[in-house]
Amino acid sequence: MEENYGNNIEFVKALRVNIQLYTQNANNNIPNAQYFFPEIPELNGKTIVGIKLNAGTDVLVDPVGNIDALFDLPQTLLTENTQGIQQEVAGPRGVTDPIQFDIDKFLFLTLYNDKHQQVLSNYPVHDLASYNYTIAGSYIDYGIMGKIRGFNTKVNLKESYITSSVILSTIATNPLIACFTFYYI
Amino acid sequence: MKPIKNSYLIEVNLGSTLPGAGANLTFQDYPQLRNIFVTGIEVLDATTCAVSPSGRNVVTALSGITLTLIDKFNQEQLKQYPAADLNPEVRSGFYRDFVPFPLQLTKSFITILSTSGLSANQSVILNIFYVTEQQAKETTRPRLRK
Repeated sequence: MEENYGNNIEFVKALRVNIQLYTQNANNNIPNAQYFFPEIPELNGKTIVGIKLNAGTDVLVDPVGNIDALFDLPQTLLTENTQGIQQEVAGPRGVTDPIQFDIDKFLFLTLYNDKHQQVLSNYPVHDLASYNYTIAGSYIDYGIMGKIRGFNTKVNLKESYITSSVILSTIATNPLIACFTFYYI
Repeated sequence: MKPIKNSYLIEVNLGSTLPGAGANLTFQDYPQLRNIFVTGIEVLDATTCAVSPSGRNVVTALSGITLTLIDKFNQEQLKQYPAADLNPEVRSGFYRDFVPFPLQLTKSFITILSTSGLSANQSVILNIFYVTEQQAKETTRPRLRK
């Protein structure tokens, strides 16, 4: 991998990993809470070569008609009645739209490897978002704009976690899930 | 862009009184970043990271900030490098790769060239990509700067 420059990431398999963040349980909503990943045996001992954030949104809170096209993970693939990482929509919006936060701008990923070493410390999650879309004829980019951040490390997911720099209940209204795709070899 | 081996997010707070133009703000000591080789750096603004892990608001403008990095031989490897050029949000998602060099973080600093768009108590966020000395020895790549 060290010799690979540019935007291309070679991977053998890709696995989506969901992590539950805000749960509407008051006990979970404290500053700097650590939201741990579930253990994924499939990833044990594998070398991660890329990580991507998949963002979804609750269409009910956003009146923009083409919102489903914005993200690569439809709401229907998330747990029922939960809300994916919600993204701000640029351009004209309905005045009734109550939420306009980029929640992933408040989230940080800390990743441990198989030797219990911290390999990513407070990595900004928005820097893993790689989607884009068109709205009102304008091309809008978010995050790293269609690229996938390349990594080269083994991972120990059960020690890894997400933190938020704000209390999530102040910016999220529904239970919140972050969904990542781990590319590995 | 080379794959990221390790990353560490560091923060420089502008303080309760906004520094004047020309002020140098050195980095504090991060033990995890001693004896490492820097492979790349991102400098992030509020577009990517709204609030830092310590709860401080992140600067919204990087155009008046430069970065100077000193290696362990006290040589300036980056001198007055524009911070905005290290923001992937405005560089089509790319971050800058360096030929790895041994960073001396506590002598490195940012310089405030213009306070326009900056406010007191805001923080500048840098995401440091690095390899440890051990990782550098284990591989012939990345190529190390002598």
